Amino acid sequence: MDTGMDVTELDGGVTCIRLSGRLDSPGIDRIEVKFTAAVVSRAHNAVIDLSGVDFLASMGIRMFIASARGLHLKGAKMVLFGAQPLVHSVLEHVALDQIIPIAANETQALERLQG
Amino acid sequence: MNKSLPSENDSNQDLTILTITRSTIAPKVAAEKREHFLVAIQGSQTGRRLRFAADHPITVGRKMVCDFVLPDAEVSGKHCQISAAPDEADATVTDLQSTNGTFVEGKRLIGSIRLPNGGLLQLGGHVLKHEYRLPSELEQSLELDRDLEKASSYVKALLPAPIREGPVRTDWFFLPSTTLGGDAFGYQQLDEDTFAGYVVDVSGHGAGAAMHSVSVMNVLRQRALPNTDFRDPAQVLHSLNTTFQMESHGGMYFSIWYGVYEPKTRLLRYSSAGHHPSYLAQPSIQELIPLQTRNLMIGAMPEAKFISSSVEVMPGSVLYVFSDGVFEVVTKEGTQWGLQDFLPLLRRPESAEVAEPERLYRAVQDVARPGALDDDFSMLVVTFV
Repeated sequence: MDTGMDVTELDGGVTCIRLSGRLDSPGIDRIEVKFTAAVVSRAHNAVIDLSGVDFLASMGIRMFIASARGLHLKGAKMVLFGAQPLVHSVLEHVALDQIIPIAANETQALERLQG
Repeated sequence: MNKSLPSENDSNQDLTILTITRSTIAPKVAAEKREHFLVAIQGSQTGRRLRFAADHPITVGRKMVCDFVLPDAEVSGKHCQISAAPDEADATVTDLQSTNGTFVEGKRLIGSIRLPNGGLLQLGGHVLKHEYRLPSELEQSLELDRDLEKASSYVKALLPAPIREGPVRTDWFFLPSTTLGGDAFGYQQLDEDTFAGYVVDVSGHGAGAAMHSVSVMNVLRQRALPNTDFRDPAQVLHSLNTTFQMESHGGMYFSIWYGVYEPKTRLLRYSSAGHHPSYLAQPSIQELIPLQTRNLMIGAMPEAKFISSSVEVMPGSVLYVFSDGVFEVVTKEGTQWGLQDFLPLLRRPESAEVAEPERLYRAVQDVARPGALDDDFSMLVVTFV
């Protein structure tokens, strides 16, 4: 499945990005510029839906870290949510929640933005 | 080149007048055309490339009369033919009634089928790839391959020799991916009583990731971290994190598993950062012990804290330390493998024919889709006598 990205704006100006497919090196090459522009340039709080992502490699994690850091510098926050078991185990192994909050679903992700 | 200008008084001025004109009839340069290639990516002929065209189909088989000869007992004398139609990106593969079949994208071919650019063809133990590209693009790609090959050789040259004697024995299998995945590993005796080993995996691919992994490996080999006790895994990770922040290293971070073993106490202390567990197999106990500490990857955050843990090691135990390229493979059926799919392979009996790390590589290759693996395969096996 090709890597996909869909951007919407939720209530309160929160950016919601729904990713799909494989977040490996070729997939990240396709979306990284758009992703960074949609998240960091807007400088709004963002929630990232991973429910459509079936593989997450180190380049995908690097993209999340760079964007979360960029947002942090602008006083905003990013939360990941909805990861499938295989992707969730990768997030667990790299202990990514120590720098980016990870939620089970969209509702919890929006709550984490308030926390 | 700088020249002084002639002065007005210079009687022997030698003036050169340059007239530039533009021709309205530009010389005709023939547009570069894409060409078809068949390249071996797995098997004894790996790297061999052969051009074919609409007016020049090629045959593949075991006999010398074929254009692309594969010395493989499972390949028929004349196995299949590859052809192309003028100005079409797809090629056509025709099975020449081979005994063991021609497989396209994992499915046995009956008659003929179109093979797109990048499509894979499997005959016996060989995998061939169809490429439709500009000759100039091909030359650039080959140049990049040569650079990656050099980087790969450098990484390999730094890997330690297996240890066959003493209380701690090691063996490993390392196969870099075609794009180089940034893996590195090593081990050494820190002092009379302490042995240390590690596996590093830098994010991303290519020569940059490989060079970064070499930097980390050199720092660990030479114990070149300031004020660091290399017998303390958490301290080593903390110092690495201070030294290798991603902002100052091209945005690259890395994961690591680092362990220190003392034969006298039989204690293995370890710390992992952004890395999946290593596994300890104890004799006559079926269950594997996962060895992992929950630390953030190295370079992601300057203020990250690192913890370590320890385990007592029974005589005859075997430790498996590896990179994610070992288990993050796509199977022949097209499904994505994860760590849990790989773990049962560790508990299969050792082979009498090949060393344990290579047995594991072959087992993974058996389930993976044809062709080279997507990431480096690094498997370090440590046996505690």
